[in-house]
Amino acid sequence: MAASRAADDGSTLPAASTADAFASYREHDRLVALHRLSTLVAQQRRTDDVLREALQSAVSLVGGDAGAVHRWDAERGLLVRAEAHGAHQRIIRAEIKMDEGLAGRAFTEHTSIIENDYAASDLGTAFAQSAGLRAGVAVPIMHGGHCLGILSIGSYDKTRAFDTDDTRLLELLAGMVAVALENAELNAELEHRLERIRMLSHLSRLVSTSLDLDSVLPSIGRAAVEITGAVCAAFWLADEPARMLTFGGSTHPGISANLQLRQLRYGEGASGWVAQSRQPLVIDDVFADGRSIPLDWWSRHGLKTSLTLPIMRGDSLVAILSLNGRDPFRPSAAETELLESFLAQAAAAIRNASLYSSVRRSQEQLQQIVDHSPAAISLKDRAGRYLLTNRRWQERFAADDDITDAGGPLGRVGVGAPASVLGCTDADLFPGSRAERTRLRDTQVLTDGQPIEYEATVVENDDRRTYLSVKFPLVDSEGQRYAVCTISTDITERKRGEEEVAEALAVQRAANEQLQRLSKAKSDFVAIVSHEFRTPLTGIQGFSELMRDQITNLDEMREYSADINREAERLNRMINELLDLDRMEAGSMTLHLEAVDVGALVTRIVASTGPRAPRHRLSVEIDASLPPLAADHDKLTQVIVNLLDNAIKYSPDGGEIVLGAHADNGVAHLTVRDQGLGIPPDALDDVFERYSRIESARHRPIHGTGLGLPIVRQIAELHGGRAWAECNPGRGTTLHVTLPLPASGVIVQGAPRGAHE
Amino acid sequence: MTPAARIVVCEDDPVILKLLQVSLRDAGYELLVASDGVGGLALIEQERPDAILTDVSMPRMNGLQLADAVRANPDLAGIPIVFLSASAQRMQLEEGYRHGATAYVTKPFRSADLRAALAWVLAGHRHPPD
Repeated sequence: MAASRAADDGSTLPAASTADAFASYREHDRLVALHRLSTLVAQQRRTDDVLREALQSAVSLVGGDAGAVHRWDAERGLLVRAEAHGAHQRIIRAEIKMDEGLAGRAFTEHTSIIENDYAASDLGTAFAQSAGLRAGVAVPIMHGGHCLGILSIGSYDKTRAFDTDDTRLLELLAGMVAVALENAELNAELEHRLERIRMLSHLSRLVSTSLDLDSVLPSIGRAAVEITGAVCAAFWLADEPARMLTFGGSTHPGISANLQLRQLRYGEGASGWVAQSRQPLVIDDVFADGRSIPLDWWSRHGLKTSLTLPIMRGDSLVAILSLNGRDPFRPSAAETELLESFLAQAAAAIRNASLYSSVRRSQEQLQQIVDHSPAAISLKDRAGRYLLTNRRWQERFAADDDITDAGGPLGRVGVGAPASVLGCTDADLFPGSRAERTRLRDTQVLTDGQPIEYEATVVENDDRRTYLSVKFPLVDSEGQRYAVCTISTDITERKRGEEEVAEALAVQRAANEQLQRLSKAKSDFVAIVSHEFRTPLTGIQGFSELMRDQITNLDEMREYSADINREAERLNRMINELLDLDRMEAGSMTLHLEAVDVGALVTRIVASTGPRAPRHRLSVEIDASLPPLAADHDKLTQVIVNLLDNAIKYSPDGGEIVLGAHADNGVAHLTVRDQGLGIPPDALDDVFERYSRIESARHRPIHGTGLGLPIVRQIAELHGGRAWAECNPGRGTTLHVTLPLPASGVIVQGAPRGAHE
Repeated sequence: MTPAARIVVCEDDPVILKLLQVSLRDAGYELLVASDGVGGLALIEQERPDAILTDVSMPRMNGLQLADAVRANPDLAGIPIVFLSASAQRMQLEEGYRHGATAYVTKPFRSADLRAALAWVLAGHRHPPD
């Protein structure tokens, strides 16, 4: 056999030594081949390369003419050609059934089989015969007790016979092929896993960065489609309280567009069934199953199978993933695991989106609510940047002409669209002084954590408006003050109302007080007047009683009746004075103006009064140049008499009384200076008041009506003049009366009166 | 016969002073008269009268101030004081009693009432009849 091989090889070596040399050469050849192959395997080259190399080596090392590697396809139950080499390689069978031929048998028995004469063997197949093969050998590619495939070599040479030496070599090569195949399998698996990890990471990134369900769900759906081999995938979003599913998008909008259904009740359709049962549902034939609806949609798109999965968060159903296809869904454990990861991603995405939409909805609600508030509302973060403002705030500050509050005027503010305010600080929007003041208030609120309240007045289009503002901090769940909110309420109307009420109250109160004062003054007046009237009345009553009850002689009778008469006249005078004063105060007294020579009038009155005041020294100081006045003669007489009487009464110990009359800046100035008791400085004006002056008996201890000076003032004022009193430097009082002089050039008609009468 | 009671009379109105003198002419009193509080107080300190009859409203020192001065002087404090006033209001009466009045006669008066009041205080009564 060795010799025949040597002949085949056409070696030129001598026979004996040739055989040894050949053996040695073959050994060397084998070692080289095995080394190359093991290197290839170790380098984890592509499976095809390894198989080709292994097959070529095998064919050449055992001296065959053709060779093939078939791999076992467990799903189909066939050996499938993976590599072929040598003659007739094109017609080497692509598929070999178990037990069929040499390779099928080797696979079944997991052992190497040699057939050196196909023609005589039951293993000779139609192929072997048609290909003209004479001998062959098949070796199983074993790994871990499993047969991965068959390595087979054939020969056309009648003299070539395979032996166990060949099979050992081939088994060695098959072992290496097994390792390579296994490596390739592992690599593919690794590659697959890597791909899945990439896919998951992509989805995670997508879910964590996008809040748009319309882009996230289709991505997840596509990934699910890819690993399950589905045609399309659709999501249904669950509304648990309503027990309703709403269509949430699909991987193939074109297909799902035909699906008129957009809402499903729990229990309705396959997705509804899953929503109710919360169990995954696999349907191999929707037409036989009958749960899926609408069936014409399925038939129209040539779909038949479905895998429907619930997406849960805790006990709550979030959504349904419906995978639809043509072939039954049989996801492997790894695929199921991956699907579950996708579903978790989908749950997260839906949750994020729903959180975001509820946050956005809350924000929109908040904005709408604050926009409809009549108060101006703003929210700023700790750095003073506006987070939110409402419509009234924007209107108010856009319309401001001027704002004043505790710190003074605030400048004009121009605010554009609401969005342009957000992120701005007061320093960006308002003049420095105002921004600073606002910032101080905000800082105070953020530092103290206490709300503050203040009022500010704003001038809006020439309309002053008053705002009551409250600032308070917003506090997060950890107690951090993260923002300050300001609510400014327009309290102008309220303020105006309050002011009006206060004003009305003040007016009312003043009127009440005036009434009370008047009422008290009147009752005081009545008390005093009745007191004063009693004095003459006492004389009248007393003397008339004496005349009636006691025996009196004629002289006494005359004397007493004279006393009675005098007291009656006094009483009458008092009554007249009272009536005069009332008339003057009521404005119903008319003056009869004529030319009056004041100096002459004063002199005459002093002359006639002198005898009644024996203890007083009366003197006059008359300015000779004083022109005649236009005055009521009788009233002016009353003035001078009253002034003189007053001076006499108030200087009971006598003393000098000086009457003066002189021109003074366009007025006639009359003065009466006494050395009497004087008037307390705080009562100087009271003596001219009919009511108030009488309140203290100590200020008016002199008998009389007490109406003399009030009458003086009334007459002076009726003439357009004044009357007042002042304390003398030493003792006593000086009373002053001024009366206007006629303008120069005006001639007062008639001869001046005063000197005669 | 006991000596006549001596009474200081203070009254600034000459007509009323005259009426007082005539009214008390036959009552057996010795009248010492002054026309204001200052003169009256000097007279009282000098004469130590048995009673004082004084007007309330007078210049320089009114009747209330006079009464205060009398009550403040231990030597004079016991002398009864009869106020003579045109103010008949209760408030004025009370003010008079607060200032030490023993009795109060209002103007216009009947001479019988005046004499009765003087007799009453001279008899040692100190609490005024209502």
